[in-house]
Parts: sequence; C-alpha cells; structure tokens
Amino acid sequence: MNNLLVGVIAFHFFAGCLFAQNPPLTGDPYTPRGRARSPDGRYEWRIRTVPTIRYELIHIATGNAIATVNAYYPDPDEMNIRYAQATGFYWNRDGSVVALDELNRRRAGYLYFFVLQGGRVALRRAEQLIPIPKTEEGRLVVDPGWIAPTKIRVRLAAQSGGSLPTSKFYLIDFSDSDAPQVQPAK
Amino acid sequence: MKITAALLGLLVLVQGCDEEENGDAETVSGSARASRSDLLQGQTIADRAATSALVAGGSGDIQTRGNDDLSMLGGNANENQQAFRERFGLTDPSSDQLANWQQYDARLTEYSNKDADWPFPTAASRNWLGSTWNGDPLAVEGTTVAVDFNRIPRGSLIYIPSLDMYAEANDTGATARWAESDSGLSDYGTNGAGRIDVYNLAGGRSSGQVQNNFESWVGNKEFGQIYIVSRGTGWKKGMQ
Repeated sequence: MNNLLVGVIAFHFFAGCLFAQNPPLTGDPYTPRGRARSPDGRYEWRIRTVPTIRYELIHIATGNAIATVNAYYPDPDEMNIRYAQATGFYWNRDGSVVALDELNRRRAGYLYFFVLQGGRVALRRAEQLIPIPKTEEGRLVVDPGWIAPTKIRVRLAAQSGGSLPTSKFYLIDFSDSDAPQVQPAK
Repeated sequence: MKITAALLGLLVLVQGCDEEENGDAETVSGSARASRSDLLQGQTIADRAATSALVAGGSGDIQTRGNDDLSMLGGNANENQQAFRERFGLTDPSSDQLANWQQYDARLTEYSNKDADWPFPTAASRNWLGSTWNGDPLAVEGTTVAVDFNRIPRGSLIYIPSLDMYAEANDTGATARWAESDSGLSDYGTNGAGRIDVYNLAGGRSSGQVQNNFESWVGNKEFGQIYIVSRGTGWKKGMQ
C-alpha cells in the first residue's frame, strides 16, 4: 500500500511539473493554464479584444473590472488573441494574490502579480521584484506555482548574446503583501 | 504492484487535468495541436516544396549564390528559398530594384525549434506554405524570420542582402526586450527595422550549436541592411 501511495504521489508531482511549466513541455503549448476564477468564486479574469487585447479582473457580482492590464501583443488580430488566450492565472489558496503569466513564447510576455485587499487591487510586474539585466533577454515565469499559501516559485529564463539559455529559480513570499520577499530557490 | 501504482497515478493525473482545464473553460480556449505532428508535417511540406522547386528550375538558381548558401539554417533551407522565389517570381534583385525598395538598418540574430522557451517548430502567423492540418502556422527554415511587428508589419516580404535571402516576416519574439536591449544600437535607431531573427531548423543540433553556427556564419554581417520589398501580406494575395 505504501508503494502504491509513493507511486501516485511521485507520478502526480512529475506530471504536475511537466504541465505547469511555461511553455508547457508536452502537448499543446497554447493550452490555458491555471484557473481564471478566484477560489471563492467572486472574481474572474476575462480577456477583452476590443479595441485592443487586455486582461480584466472582474468582480462577478457587479460586473465591474477592478484591474486591467494590456496584453504583451495588444493588436487584436487572430494570432495575438490566441496568444492572449494561453495566459495562465494562478490564485493562491485564499484568493489574496493572483499571478497572471502570459505565454512564454521565446521569452515574450510578462508575469504580473495582483494583490487583493479590501476590494482594492495592487499590481506588480515580476521584474519589479526580480530585476532582469538589460543585456539579457529574460523572462520570469511561474514554475510550477504556489507551493505554500503565500509562497510562489518562479523561474527566470534568460538568454544573452553568445551564451546558452539559463534558468534560475526564486521564491516570492507575499506574507507581507506590501513588501514581498524574494529568495533564491532550487 | 508498481504497474498498478503507475496506472492509478495516470488516472488521477487525467482526472486532475480535466478538472483544472474545464473549471473556467468559458473564459479561455485553446486549439489542439501536436508539436511532433507539426514537425513531421512541416518536413513533408518542405520536402514537397523542394521537389517542385527542382522540377521548375528557372531564375534564382541557388548555385549562383556562392557563399550565401543557406544550408547553415538546417533542414531544407536552400530548397525552401528556391521554392519561395519561384512561387512568387523573385529573382536576385537588380540595382534598380534595390534602389526602389526601402532600406533599413537591422541586426541579424537566430532562433530555432530547440529554444528552451519555445521548443516547437511553429511561427506566430501563417506562412507562404499555408498552415498545418489544425491551422497551426509553421516556421519554415530558409524563409521565416521573426521581427518586431512594430517595425516591420506582420507578413511583410523582406530581402536580406548579406545572406541573399528573401524572407517572410511571419514570426515574432520578445520584441519589447529587443527594443530595450538594442535601444542604443543601429537596428533600433531612426532608420532601424529592429532585429531580424532568422529561423533555423535545429535537426540534431542543440540550440547552443545553432547559435554558434549562425554567429560563425554571419560574422561581421550581424549589423547591416535589409530591404522591405513589400509591407504586409498583400504580396501573397492570389498566390497562396
């Protein structure tokens, strides 16, 4: 029975890592990731395409947008819309923080964090917490997601001229949502 | 017992994924695509294009291009370039043509289907060879380049003189970062077209090997000029 349990857990962890990465390592790279709706069902992300492509966080009861951010490729053509639809939304367990992770298509796109407090939303781009050197083509992505109620692991995928791509992992702790803490991770 | 555990794990995984993806299906949707199928189909299309090119003959003989052989781009790059020229009536440009086309500063970089951040042989928009069975646009070695669509409109036809290569701007990349990191360089200057990121079919090479091969090949041609022969996709109308 113990073997069975270990097998299930190991397989689940391995598969979770495979599918949670950005871009996904298997299958359709445009598959939506995460959940658009908050854990308590009060909020939901919607992708708007008119006049330009943007992501809106909607308070479902009122229908009001409480946060909006433009897509990396905002022109509303077919391909950009498909790109935007592949964005991942990662809510933490109590719905106080949500990560919006655009599709990592050769380091295009951005990772944003939205902190919800008392009906208000504070937006941070991941590079504000983990700066990317200007000389590097870098991209921060969720990998694989929330590992604790306030901690999310992210990966910095970087490539600079003449060198091979590198990956560095970080933990961002939102225990103090006004001043998230960053530390290297494995 | 171990097999049972693996099967049970697979069952749990499948159920878990279904629940995850169906939970908010009204907000987002994706198209089904399989990268391996795309690669195989891309190879088939490229082979077909190569075959017809060899039969048709005519202008733009790749043998006349000397050192500007595109085989470094992997796969059927030369054959694809040849077929592309024949399909759209493109020949080595005359001095009159070059004088009439818009010339821009550009920077030649490379990418491939082995990029760790996009290990797929797909492009951001349709190419001159059409789409795969499920509508997924292919990147075509020898004719696909990724550009900053803010500088060069999607689908434009360009000519890269240092490679003697006509290319279709049907892909893009991390353009905001290109613009940021190249902000002081000629490709993002007032007469700059931005980076021209040339697609390579890696084949048995790693992404690092592709990069090294390309940089050795291009050498001091990295910064140079390109011509925009036709802006947007109008040049393909009625010829697809």
